[in-house]
Amino acid sequence: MSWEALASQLKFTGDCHWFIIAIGLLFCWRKVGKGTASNKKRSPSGAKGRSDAKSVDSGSTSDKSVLGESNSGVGSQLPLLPKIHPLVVGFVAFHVLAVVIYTLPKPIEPVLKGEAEPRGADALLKYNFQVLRETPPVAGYLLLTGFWQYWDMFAPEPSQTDLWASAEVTYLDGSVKQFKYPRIKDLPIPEKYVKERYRKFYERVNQDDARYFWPPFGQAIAVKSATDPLNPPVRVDLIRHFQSVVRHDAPNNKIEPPYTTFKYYHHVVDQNQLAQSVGWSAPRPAKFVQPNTLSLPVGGSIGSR
Amino acid sequence: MEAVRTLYAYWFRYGSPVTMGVFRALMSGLIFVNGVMVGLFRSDWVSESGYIPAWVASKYLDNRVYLGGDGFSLPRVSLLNGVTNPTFLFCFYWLVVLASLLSMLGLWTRVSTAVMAVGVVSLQLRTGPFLHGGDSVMRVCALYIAIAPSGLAFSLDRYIGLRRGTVPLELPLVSMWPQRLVQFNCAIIYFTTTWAKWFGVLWKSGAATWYPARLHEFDRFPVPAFLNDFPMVKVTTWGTLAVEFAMATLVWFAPLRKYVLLAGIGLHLFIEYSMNIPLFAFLMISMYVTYYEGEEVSAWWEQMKSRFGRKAQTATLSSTESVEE
Repeated sequence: MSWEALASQLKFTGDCHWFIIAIGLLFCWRKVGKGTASNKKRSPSGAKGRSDAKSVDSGSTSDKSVLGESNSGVGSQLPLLPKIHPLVVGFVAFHVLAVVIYTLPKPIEPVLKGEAEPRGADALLKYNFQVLRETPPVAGYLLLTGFWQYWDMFAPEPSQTDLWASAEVTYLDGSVKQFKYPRIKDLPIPEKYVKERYRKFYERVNQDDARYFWPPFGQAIAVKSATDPLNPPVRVDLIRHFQSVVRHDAPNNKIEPPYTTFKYYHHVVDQNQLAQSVGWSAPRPAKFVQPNTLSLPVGGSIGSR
Repeated sequence: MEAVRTLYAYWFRYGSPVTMGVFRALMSGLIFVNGVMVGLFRSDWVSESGYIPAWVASKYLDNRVYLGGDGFSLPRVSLLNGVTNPTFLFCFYWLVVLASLLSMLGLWTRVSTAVMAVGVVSLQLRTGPFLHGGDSVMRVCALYIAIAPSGLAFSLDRYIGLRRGTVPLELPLVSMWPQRLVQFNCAIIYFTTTWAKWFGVLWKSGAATWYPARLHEFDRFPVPAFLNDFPMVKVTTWGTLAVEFAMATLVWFAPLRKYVLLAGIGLHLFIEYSMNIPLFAFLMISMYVTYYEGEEVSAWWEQMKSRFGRKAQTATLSSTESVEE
């Protein structure tokens, strides 16, 4: 198979050249990053290259050797200002600057929206966020290489909404089954650990500004619920369960409110895609049967979070 | 000028590669564990029939970066850009997991760390919607490990080289800038997150930790009730700010370094115990090793060996005596 045919089969978009450049760069940096401090030149007591190395008794290789011996004595003989390639120094300086610019926090909302006059640090943060952060050298370098980062764990305010998901799957014959999307609270501890991704994913996809997630989310649930090619799922209703944490200064703040439940999206299952995903030979014609009356209200938003 | 010279010397001086070797083993090990954990449910996350098909992933994290206003763009470093073939996705995923295992062991380090780095970046671009802070730590650190001479010490490469006599017994010295970059990145995480928290009313008023403790989706092991009530909420809220700020600043001051790092470890272990945020504590703690020079790590290892070696020797002697009796 030719490379073009393979690339076409894999649906590559012709970005492989970028990977090759990246690998080349990685190797170059490593080569330069090793520095030029050879033991032969600067260590009168050190190993003198390959000839000494060969004299190492293979049977007596100790942990110390593998971890490495202290070189403090040797290091003290090195010049204070080692000669490092200017490209490396420039790269390090630029990298540090770019990461600082990209990770500085956003200013407060009123300043960002122009509703409040920025003062002191806020003015700096606004300029950084709106101008410096988006400059091609900074954003381009970090986003292209994979060094992009932004740190806001529980900041500026911790989340105040507990949230989980479920779904109702309607089949061709009109029957309705509940789909259990992993709810972390109900799982045993080892399972919680490996399934936390489901919580994080749902935290992102449930939001109203992420509606494009909902059809593939519904479709994936249909794929997981498909067992009988003669009775495929035809509709998936996504359900959101949420509870706002009682404010710390509220009276009776120990009493938890009940969870609010909303059905927020109906997904009509794409039968062709379903058949392809599940591996059924041909899609069944979806003769839609009116599902059982659904008890939950439709719609509802938690609000912006 | 003297300050610049000192800064230059601090960042670029030659030193032992042991710390980067240990850091590589710890971080790659955690990347491997994470890969296995996600791999258990790979069909949900890295497949077209799962929750994140390729088009959704590329809509969430654009595969191209637009530079300037004229629409000029470049593709991001990703081998999975537009790939939907299930066999390729399967093989690629487990190849990256294998590379992280080899990187942890320090075997064929130059290749395995590069494959791990490019693989982690590619997979994260393919699974953007489920990423959390720990993933960013893994991605950034995988890149640092790939560009550093991280296989020179604490690696099977070195062990095999010593047995074959192809590497010298004494470690080569390397410029410290890759290790300094990890230190710097660790500090910037704490610095910016503390600053961002400072904008929060709840953090300033000392009430912030009241809320995460009541999000049941984060529940893990039971925590005594008084820890999640006032006045302890104020202690944990302001304590978090203090420790995070110290981790960004005082940690550079040698006499305080050990205590600041211990406080950071305490903070993360408490979060690890009480909240279900997998691996994050261990990822952050593994970065702490880079605050110690390779010579210090080697000296500590020797100290441990002599201490436990003596104990083992004493135990052997006493058991021999009892047999003789």
